[in-house]
Amino acid sequence: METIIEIRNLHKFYGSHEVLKGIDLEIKSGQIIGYIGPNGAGKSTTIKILTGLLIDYAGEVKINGLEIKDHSLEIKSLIGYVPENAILYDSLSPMEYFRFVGGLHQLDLDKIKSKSQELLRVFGLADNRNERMTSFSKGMKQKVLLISGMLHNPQILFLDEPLSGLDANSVILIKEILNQMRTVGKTIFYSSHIMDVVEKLCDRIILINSGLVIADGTFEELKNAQNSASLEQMFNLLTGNNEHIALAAEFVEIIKE
Amino acid sequence: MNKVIIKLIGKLRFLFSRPDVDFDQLLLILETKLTIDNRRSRVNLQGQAVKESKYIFIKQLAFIFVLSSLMAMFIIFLPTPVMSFSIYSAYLMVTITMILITDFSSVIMDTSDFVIVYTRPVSSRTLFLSRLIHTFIYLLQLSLAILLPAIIVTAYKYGFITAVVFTILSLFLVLMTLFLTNLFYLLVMRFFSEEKLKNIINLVQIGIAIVLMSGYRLVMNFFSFDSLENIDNLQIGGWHFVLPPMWVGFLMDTTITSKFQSNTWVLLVLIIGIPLVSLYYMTSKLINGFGGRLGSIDDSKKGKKSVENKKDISELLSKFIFKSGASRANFEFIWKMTSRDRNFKLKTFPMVAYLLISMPTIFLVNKDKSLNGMLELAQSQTWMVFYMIYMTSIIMNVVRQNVVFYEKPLASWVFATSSIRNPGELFLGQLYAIAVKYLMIFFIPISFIILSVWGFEYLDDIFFGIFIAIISQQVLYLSIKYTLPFSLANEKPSGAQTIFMLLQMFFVGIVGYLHNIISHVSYVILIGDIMAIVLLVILNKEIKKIGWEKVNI
Repeated sequence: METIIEIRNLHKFYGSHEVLKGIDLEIKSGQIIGYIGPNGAGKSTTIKILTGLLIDYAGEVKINGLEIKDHSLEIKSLIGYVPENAILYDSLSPMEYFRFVGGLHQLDLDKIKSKSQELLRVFGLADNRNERMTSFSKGMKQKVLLISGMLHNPQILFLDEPLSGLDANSVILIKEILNQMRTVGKTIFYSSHIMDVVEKLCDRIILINSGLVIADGTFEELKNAQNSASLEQMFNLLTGNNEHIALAAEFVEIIKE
Repeated sequence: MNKVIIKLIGKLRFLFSRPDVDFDQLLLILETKLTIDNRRSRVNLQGQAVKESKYIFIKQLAFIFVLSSLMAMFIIFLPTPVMSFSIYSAYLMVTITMILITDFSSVIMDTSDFVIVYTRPVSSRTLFLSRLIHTFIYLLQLSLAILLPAIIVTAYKYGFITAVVFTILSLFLVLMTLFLTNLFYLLVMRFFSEEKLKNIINLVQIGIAIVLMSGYRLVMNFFSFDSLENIDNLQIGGWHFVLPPMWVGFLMDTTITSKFQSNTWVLLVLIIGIPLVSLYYMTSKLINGFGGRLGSIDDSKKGKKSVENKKDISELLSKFIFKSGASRANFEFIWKMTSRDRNFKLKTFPMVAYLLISMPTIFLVNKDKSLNGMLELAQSQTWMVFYMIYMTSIIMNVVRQNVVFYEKPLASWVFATSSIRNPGELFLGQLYAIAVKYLMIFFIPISFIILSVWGFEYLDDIFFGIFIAIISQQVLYLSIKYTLPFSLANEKPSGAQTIFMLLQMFFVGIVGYLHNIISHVSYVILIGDIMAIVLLVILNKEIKKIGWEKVNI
């Protein structure tokens, strides 16, 4: 396993507000990395920097040994990105969308067509492939997004809440796909609020809070270090105010009034 | 205003003393809905969604009132009551239908009631009545804004009693309009998917915008008042029975002149009967099926599209125009989106229609209306050739300006994460998508007209016009920062962009003028054509080289 992502002393300001306060990470290929943290902790910012969307950062961020700031194009062709909330141009059909995205990645048109047709079939969307996506459910759009993020066979995949809107069967399928992609050497950067999935799926878990890494390791390691039974519990212990029992009691009391 | 309305309705408690209606709930639902109404963003004349603000609805009413005051002039100045009241009633019906379809459709179609209200202990009759009353309040406010000027004018010209009759007849007409619109919705919902319905609404909105933006130009030319004087003693018959505004016209005529025709009573029965019967039908029949019907809009998928891959024409064209992936992808993307995105269409089509309608209106005022007369006139005015040729290049600008806007601008992340070295390739795809699509849509018919009316010697001029239009666009792309297509929420274009656009239009105007002057020396234009092609190819190469530093992200 070689180092594929290297982050040294990463800082990022929005105006005078410091979102990332010096992050250091080294990530090996062929792993699923769980990237977790409360809202506003700096998760999305890190992902935006790693995908080349934000380049005005301070510090060193290297993918495959290349500094992102200076080689954003080479890096963009290496990575795939699936944003949350399934935002895409839904006036197009899935096939048209893939044709468009594939075109932006300079892929061969016939290749895109055959590949995306097969991928849609696997996801059970073969019959919808030429329908406009305005009528699609959130889960269907999510599947289209997942395919569009992997169409160009990226080495590193950035997923932001990739299971949202999907039904249980699709969730199992996607999890297995991610598992098998790891075994063929892909690196997956997985960001989510669903702790159970992260706990079971990820080889390594990175927890950030207010722009700093506060825990890093396999689930087993974290569990032993923090003395918690589940990732959820540990998350609450490290980032919450640990008042949830008192707050819940208060809530129930008020409802009774 | 809403508080007053709620108080007034509160006084009507005795009307609703039924066991299955909870009046307090009803008032609460109404109050909430009226508040929401006043905050709903609306689409203004330029097709831009108006930002949420207070009193939107009141402003809209004021606007309608002013417009209606102008329409009330008909009642003052037209000598025949049949005509003046028919026209005003037609205006009333059309306005209310359009507002019901475009603006109020979101309220009629709103299915959130069933999730938010119906999951609470609210009886279906309470909910139904609240919706009905809500619709009535809305309609009454609108109708008053439309009718008040006419009522005042009628009272002044024909007396108080006539004005009262007019008010009553008009309110029946409003009810009938509501019924017809409802019928329209039920039909559309039965046969088409929700998508189709949205498209139909979109078309109606575009139609309204076109009428509002360009209507006065046409009205000025088409209306000649002397032709109306001849129908002083119009007999009721035939097609009058299918035009409700004519019913009001004839009934008002009878009220004013006391001249009864044998058919007058038929019209009276129709105008009172149809609304009452339909109202009874709506309340009794629909009340039960109503929940299910509306609730099913959300998931029903009628008129599903076939699985067959119908290749978009852009995918066939792009093959001949581009080899590079990014240009080609963006060419097809722009082509498809400009035909599909409703907001884009709503913004662009009316402006394009306006430009086309403002083309020479000289024909409309010409005394000799025969085809030969028109042809002779046209042939004597060669400047029109150049006017038509260069007008279309402004259309390209309108399109280029609007193509950057999109409801969900975040969707443009695909561009940002793609590995395109030179975004100039994107520019090129966009430029030629707009050029080929819009220039050709207008140029082929216009060329046909020019060649058949003015002769084949203008062929080289037409080509020169096309080249100039494209070159002026190329210059624009090279000189201003480029914004990715469909990547911005609605905003005003930047000042710099507007200045460059005006400069470009000025440039096109100058070239058009010079072209007009030197055009009789035919080989000059031929040489110009060749030079233009060379310039065009060079500029294409330049655009392709443009880097990311010239893109707004």
